[in-house]
Amino acid sequence: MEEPKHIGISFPRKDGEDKVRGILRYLGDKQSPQMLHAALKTSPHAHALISKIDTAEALKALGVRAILTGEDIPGNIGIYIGDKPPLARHKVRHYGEPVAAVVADSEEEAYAALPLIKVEYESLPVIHSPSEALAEDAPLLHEEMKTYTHIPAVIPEPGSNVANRTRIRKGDIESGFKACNTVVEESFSFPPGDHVAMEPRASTAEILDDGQVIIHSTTQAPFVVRNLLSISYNLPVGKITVITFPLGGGFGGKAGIQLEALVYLLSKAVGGRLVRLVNSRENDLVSSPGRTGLEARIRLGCSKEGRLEAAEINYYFDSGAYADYAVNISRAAAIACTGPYAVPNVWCDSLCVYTNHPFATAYRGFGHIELAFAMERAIDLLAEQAGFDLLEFRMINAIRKGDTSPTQSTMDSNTGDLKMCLENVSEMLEWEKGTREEMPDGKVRAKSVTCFWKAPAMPTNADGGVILTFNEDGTVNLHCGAIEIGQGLKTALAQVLAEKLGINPGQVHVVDEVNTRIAPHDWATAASRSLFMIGRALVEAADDAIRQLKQTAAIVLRCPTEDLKVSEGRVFLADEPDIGLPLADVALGYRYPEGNAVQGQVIGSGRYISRRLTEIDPETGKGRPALEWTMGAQGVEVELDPSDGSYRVLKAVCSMDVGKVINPFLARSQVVGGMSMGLGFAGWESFIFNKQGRVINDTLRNYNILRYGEEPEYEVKFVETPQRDGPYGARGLGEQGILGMPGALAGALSGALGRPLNRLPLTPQTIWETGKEGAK
Amino acid sequence: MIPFDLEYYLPESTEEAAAIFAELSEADKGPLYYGGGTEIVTMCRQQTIKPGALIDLKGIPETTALEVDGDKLIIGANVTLTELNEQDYFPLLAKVARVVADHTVRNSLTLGGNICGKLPYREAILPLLTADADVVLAGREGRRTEPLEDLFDKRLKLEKGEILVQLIVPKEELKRKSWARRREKHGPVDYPLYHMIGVQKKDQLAVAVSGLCAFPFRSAELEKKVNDSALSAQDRVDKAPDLLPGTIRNDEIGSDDYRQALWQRDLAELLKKMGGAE
Repeated sequence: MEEPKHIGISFPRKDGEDKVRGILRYLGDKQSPQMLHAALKTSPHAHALISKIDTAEALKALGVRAILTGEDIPGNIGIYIGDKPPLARHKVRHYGEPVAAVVADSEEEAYAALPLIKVEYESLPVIHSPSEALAEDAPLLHEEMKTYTHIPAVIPEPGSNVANRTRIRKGDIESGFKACNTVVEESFSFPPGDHVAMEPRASTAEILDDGQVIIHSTTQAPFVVRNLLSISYNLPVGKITVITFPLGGGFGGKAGIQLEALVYLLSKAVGGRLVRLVNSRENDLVSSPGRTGLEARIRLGCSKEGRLEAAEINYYFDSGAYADYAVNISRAAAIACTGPYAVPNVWCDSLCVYTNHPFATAYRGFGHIELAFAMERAIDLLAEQAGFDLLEFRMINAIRKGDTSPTQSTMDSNTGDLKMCLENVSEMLEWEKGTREEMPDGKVRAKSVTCFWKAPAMPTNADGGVILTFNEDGTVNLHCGAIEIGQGLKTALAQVLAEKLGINPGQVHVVDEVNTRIAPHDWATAASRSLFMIGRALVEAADDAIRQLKQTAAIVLRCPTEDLKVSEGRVFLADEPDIGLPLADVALGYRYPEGNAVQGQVIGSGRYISRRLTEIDPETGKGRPALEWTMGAQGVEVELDPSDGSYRVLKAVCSMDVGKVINPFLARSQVVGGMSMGLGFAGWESFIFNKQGRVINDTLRNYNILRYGEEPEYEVKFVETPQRDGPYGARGLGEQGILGMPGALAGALSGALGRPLNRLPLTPQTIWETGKEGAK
Repeated sequence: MIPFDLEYYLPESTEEAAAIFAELSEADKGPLYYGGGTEIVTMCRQQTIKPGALIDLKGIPETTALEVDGDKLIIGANVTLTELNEQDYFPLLAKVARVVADHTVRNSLTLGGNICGKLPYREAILPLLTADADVVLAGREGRRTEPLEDLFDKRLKLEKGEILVQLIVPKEELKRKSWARRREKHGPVDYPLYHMIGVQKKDQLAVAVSGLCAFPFRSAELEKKVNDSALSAQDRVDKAPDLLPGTIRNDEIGSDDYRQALWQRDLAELLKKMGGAE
């Protein structure tokens, strides 16, 4: 096989220049004169009955066209469970929940009307955490749970606050613990937070006279939005068009449905006129969904030789007021509950629990960042107690080909090389030089290591498709249903296509906008599956196009198609390369000098659907839900000042087995971006609640995220064990950089402090307090 | 986006500004004086305040002055924190200005706005308190110059409609030996847990602190204790919390225990660094 020309090359990202120069317009930037504008009145309470809403005065305000409240719109929406009214009805279940929406001629008039809406509340007891939600006398947040529709894979428990329970029963947990020499049991937790994508969410809706519904939205899943709108509002799916422009970051926060349903209802309320709803930053933080919190309790044991024998795992995901994606997050966390380790005996109950926090949707890592934090902390504690080096202990237990996953699915020959990843981390952090050092100024430096894995958590029939069309100059247009959310997907796809067609990536024109009426069906731009699945569809589409190009050329060149080759922008005889035609001459059909034309344009198409996936057994979790596992290892070195808890992350490293690197610069950027986000998650970010359950840091003045100057030095090393069913051997890497970082930061700081830190975020004050407790 | 209409005025003299203020108050417009707008615009956007008019003071030339006049440094209230950060006349003020908010905000944020704003920190006041600055105020009744010390009690006590025009710092105060420590919850771009400065005056150490209590302060009682040479440095540090002019803040940025522990440590370091420990 020839050396690839465009795979493994750092081709500059196609959308880079427009973004850097500020030319790209996001949805919220686009306005037109005929638009009406919406604004949301939100709840100041975390849990309260709505005793009265008076909109009379607001309706009289200048420019106001309509006001909707929960009472005006029957029915619920929800991605897996239909549990959420688009506007709170009868009661509010979280701070920031929209209770009314105003449509007005201008955005100013819509916002000005909000204070004129008078809402009376009657406070209800607030549920602050999963454990409070699971207490016997806890108030029920969803009394009507048993009437909610839900997909079969999600199992709500009416009469409780449990929105889903996923069980894993592998091996025999009791005899597993009997074989253990050392057992640890500990709890781990973190509060919910937000994605803080650069671009706040926005949607517009318009209903045409013939019943067509046109939605523009900042969504990672336009086809999901289309389908759920169709189901929820009984609209023929073909009458709905969802259009998406490139997003200013998604991170899962734009993967569900929320504003789209509301803005559709608002458009309906004003006779189908075009209505625009753009989140303020405050609304984006608390009124639209954020990420889950977690409480975990893990009992973990190993043999004298350091082999993991048994894991008893309880994950309680804090889904907030509504289940959204969180029910599937709790399920994904069960499927991967042990992390990438071979554990013969596993018992796991992973619950998604309602609380009075802002509701949670998908977030980069999707259950795997949560489980990795809890498991990696537990692994550290066990290894320490059993007297093993933290890296060596992971080496002993690293999962490999032939081992089984928690769902008893056998790891196949595509399994990544986790041991190599661990070796790379060891080298990058200079592990052998020691992992803890007290500095002359009293500060302490310490290192950590973690492992991670992730498979896409998606429907067993998740799919994607590609259509290729050609231009007069022989260049190609690449259409697909996946969204550019900042991950650089379309640049990587252009490289794959360029490689297949033997052209330059610059001759591939990617279509940025996705329109559900034009683009081939696509599940969603989520789960780090786009390069793999769209990549597979693209390879098929390219082969289809090549076949057609050869067909046309074979007529003109009077030769068998199988003698032809497509490369360097030409189609030619493989054994006599001088005899051939430029792609420009055949791509739109061939025209002979006297005028006759043959064959017509080339339209390449390809598709992919997940292979041989199954649901899991509700009692044991047995099944094959994972398309491909991407795994790796990470670590950090920190410098802690134990006297005040302040610290710096000096270095963060990651080694990941990605199968094949398509674009090294983009791949590294994606991984480093994930690592940075993971450090922010672990050390800086989370909602802060007061005793009434209100979020008191719902602005970027006080919701802390990692700042540019606080970044450590990053080092990334890729391992390439081919994913043989992936495009050119590649597997997903979009989310994975984030996964091991919270555990790594907590591990290093615990090592430096000499006390375990098992709760996030790791602010200097919490470290100082933990150190003080230890000194007592 | 500010979702309500308001009137905007750009007067060119303090007299004009004060007259407009009086007129608009009379007309119940609830006018506000406007400097950089970094607080006002946010609060207007969130509709937590709804002024009917803003009177932008940046058109008044004296308020943007930054110059040495004989034995005094004159600092206009509308000098931005970025400009303060970049000047060499008063290094401690430059240092303090550098750590408030972030660079983009500092390009707008003015000294007067920082001192008179609603946020409890008002850090730029600290070096002016220790420098025994004077304030120049203007109102309908005319103009007055007063010692800052007399007018600053938790906040600058302005008469209704009065304008902070300038701050005047004696030249000998500009380059005194000083020490500053700002602590945040985590990263540097944040509100402070507290911000403390110490300045070596002729024979005593002047101390001013923001963020520790609900307001910035320079306390005579605290300074007396800090300078009490009859006590060991450790004793002074131990007794210092009892002499604070208010309770120690306990909020989402940090607990009172954490603030106090760090502050006492830093006070000890201040005494050591500034030679006040003998």
